[in-house]
Amino acid sequence: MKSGLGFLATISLLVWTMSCKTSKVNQEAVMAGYVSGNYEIECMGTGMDGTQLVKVWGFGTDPEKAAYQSRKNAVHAVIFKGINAGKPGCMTRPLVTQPGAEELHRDFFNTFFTDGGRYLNFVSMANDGTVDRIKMTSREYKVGSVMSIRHAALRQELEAAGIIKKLGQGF
Amino acid sequence: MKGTIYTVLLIMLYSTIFAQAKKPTLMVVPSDNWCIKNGYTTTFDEMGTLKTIPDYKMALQNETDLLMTIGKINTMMSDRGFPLVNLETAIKNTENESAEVSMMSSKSGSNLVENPIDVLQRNANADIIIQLTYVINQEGPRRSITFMLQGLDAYTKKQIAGAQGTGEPSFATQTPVLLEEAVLAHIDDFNSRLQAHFDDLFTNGREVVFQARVFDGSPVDLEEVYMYENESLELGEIIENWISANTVQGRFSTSTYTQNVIRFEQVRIPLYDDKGRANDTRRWLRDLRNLLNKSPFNLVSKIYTRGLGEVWLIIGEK
Repeated sequence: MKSGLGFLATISLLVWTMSCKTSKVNQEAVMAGYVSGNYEIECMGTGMDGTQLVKVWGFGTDPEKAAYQSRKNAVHAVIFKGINAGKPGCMTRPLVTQPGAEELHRDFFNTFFTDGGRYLNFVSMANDGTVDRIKMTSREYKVGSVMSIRHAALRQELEAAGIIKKLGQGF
Repeated sequence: MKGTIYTVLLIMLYSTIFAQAKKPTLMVVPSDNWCIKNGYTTTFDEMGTLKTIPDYKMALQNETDLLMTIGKINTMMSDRGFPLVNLETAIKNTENESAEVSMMSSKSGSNLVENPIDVLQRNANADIIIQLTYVINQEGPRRSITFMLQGLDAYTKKQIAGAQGTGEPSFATQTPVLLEEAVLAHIDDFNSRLQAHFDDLFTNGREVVFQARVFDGSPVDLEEVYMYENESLELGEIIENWISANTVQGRFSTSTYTQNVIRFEQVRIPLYDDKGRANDTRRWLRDLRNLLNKSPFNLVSKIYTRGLGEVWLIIGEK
């Protein structure tokens, strides 16, 4: 009887540990983008003056959330990562090159990237709204779409906020 | 009296707070490679050796694509808050200035004095040259463009920024469209690297070249020994010590040291002097000229500048 209880306790502990791990993975995937930077992005070409086209993926518990996350990811990539894959025509260098700038200006970026935040002013769908949808698990979706990023306007916003310097500032 | 003192103090405060470093000038020019490949060159005989140099004026007058590309780059740089010197206007200005200098005279009939060096320095020039090269690649019916921008420091000869790449091949695309796309694709990466160069400039000082030279009528050369600050040193070594004390973190390297010429490279001069005023090579070197003018040296010397980035001190005469 005692050994049966012990066996049950061990199984419960194992199940609890695994569920914790899975939920953490899911949480990370959902938050991928502004927090972990773990997302895929590729260049689709040059847009009009001051814009570039990218295909970016987002994760979420439903396709809507994943699509929403992908917008954040697109703006995040232009600011902090640069676009180094895909077709030619995008900025390979990020707008912010100072190491640790994301942490240094944490308050600004937390506000900037809040749901419905100012980042939405610099990103828009570049096509008729068609998206690529992949169901990763029963609770997780990966959604990819082509976005247009207004990187010149984004640079001006960051210059105005004092995050990056204006070209030739100080002369 | 009080008012005057306050005004002077206000001016000093203003100049300290709002002092701005001397702004380098930038100009886009087609590369030698592009000019030679497209036949826009002039050949002249320099003491028996035939030399080929690019003919910018001819290139701009004949190549609409080139003119459009330079115009596009100028516009985009201007939008980003850094207007460039326009090559075509600079060439015209140089020609007009030459005509005006040769024709101008005073009421009494005196002409303007100009020596060959003044004429040479009147050429269209900039501190940073943005060299532009492009090639249209044809692969069957598809065309693509290979585009290259190089930011070259006119004095240190270093490439300080660059962006290059080949665009997506496409069918039936016109050259101006390809060129415009290439400029749009590369200008921001180029600017990002240019900004990194400016950041380095503000942190580590402006990199310049300095040469100490001697006129043939000079009573001394650079190996003349002086007793200075309880040390027996050659004039060249005294100059070297002065540079070490007056550069950002003592950064410079001596590339040539002879009795007649000492060439210092990678000399990092501060952007502001000790009073907070914008510094340039002439202002920076003035103290050395004054030092050599005093005892125990008592030497007359001449400062000769070549733009923002190179300066010579020629000892012996003015």
